[in-house]
Amino acid sequence: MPADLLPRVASGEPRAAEELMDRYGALIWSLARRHSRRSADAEDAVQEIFLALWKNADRFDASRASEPTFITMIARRRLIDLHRHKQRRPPTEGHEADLETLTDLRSGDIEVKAEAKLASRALGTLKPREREVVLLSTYQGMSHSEIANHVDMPLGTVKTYIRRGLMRVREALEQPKQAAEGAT
Amino acid sequence: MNGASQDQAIEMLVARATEGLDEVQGAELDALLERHPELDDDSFELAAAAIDLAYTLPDQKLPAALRERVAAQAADFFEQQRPSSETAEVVSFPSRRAEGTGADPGRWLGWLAAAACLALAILGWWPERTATAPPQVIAAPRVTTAEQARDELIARAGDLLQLEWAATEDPAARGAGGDVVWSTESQRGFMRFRGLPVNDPSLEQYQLWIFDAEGDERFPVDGGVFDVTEPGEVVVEIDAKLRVARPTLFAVTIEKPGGVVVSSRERLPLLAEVS
Repeated sequence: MPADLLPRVASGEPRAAEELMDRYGALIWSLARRHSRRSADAEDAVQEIFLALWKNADRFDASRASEPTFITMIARRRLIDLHRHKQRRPPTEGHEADLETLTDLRSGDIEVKAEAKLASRALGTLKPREREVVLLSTYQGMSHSEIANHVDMPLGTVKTYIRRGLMRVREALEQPKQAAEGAT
Repeated sequence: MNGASQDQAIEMLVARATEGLDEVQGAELDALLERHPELDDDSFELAAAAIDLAYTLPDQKLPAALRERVAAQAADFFEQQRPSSETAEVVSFPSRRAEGTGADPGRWLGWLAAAACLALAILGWWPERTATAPPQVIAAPRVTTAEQARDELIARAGDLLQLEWAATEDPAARGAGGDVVWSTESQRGFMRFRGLPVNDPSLEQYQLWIFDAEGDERFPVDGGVFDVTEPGEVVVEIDAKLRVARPTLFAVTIEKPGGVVVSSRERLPLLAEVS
């Protein structure tokens, strides 16, 4: 398993930044493309995400999350902020996923960490409708009201499903850490 | 009551992790989290990230031209971070609670009027760029790295704003001045100060606020927290937490260590307004 790069980035090692681009550039590009309306917007987003990574590298805590998950979190923060600033939501055209057949994927570039698998497994315990709502929110980047319109569901129900889904994933991610702490 | 507010905090944490919060909501969440420190405010975002990651296939490498731009940006960033023996430090605490959050609306309303009521004295003493007044000898060591970056921005930016600080009646403003430069295209800027008092970071820190014509004037963008560690000229890079589309005003306040989400504006030594 390759060593984490963010601690070296945090220490100011320029070579580590190059390696970070090599290791996670495709992931960040994929996230940006899926969450952006136009290619130009995606490119701007990628630059802003990497800048946020350089600035927040020292916040990475391997005991709380894997490096890919932390980087995805930072990327999502920037993408959500950019979308709110532009006051429009990203379309799904061109990147629309058939949620019926969406399966967890293993990247050819990076290893999908254990917690991504835990997340996928936790979502699998939800009812199909709940899982769909959670994926429309997190994966497709739709707002809660957009989802409510899209699936013809009360907004309150959408919020409840998303909260339930995230809490289930959150609990699934916490369990290995709690088990490790109990063992020490 | 406690359960209800905790429930509300969780709901807002979920919203932040999935669709984001506006400034009012962000401030509301920060207030709730102060009452509920037991809530891990990153865990919902990490959960959402884990879901996204589980279903994302990175099927295309970064385009070469984009990678080059990112690499150039990285080189620039790390150049700025290189430690120097110079005096002033840029200390930015991009605390999660400060990211993109806004203010209690009531506290910022009328702040411009209040600032205008203070006696503004534009010092205009910055001599360096006049033909007849040679640059003053700088009393303290110059911050070469930030200053070089500032010079580079000035040389390259096609949309550069350069504004002189106007001092208020705040005691910290006595004898203080300088300027601020900003490029909206590159979203970079630098503040230059002279005579701004040295602060004890354990007691108080300076914080920049940027007002955006395309944003709500009640909720300025947090431009970063910084310190002045020695007297003399200091150059500080702006660390805007959100994109600024059309700045109208830059304001420096004095806040508690770590900065604030909502400024009481009780201490507001310097302003720079776009005319």
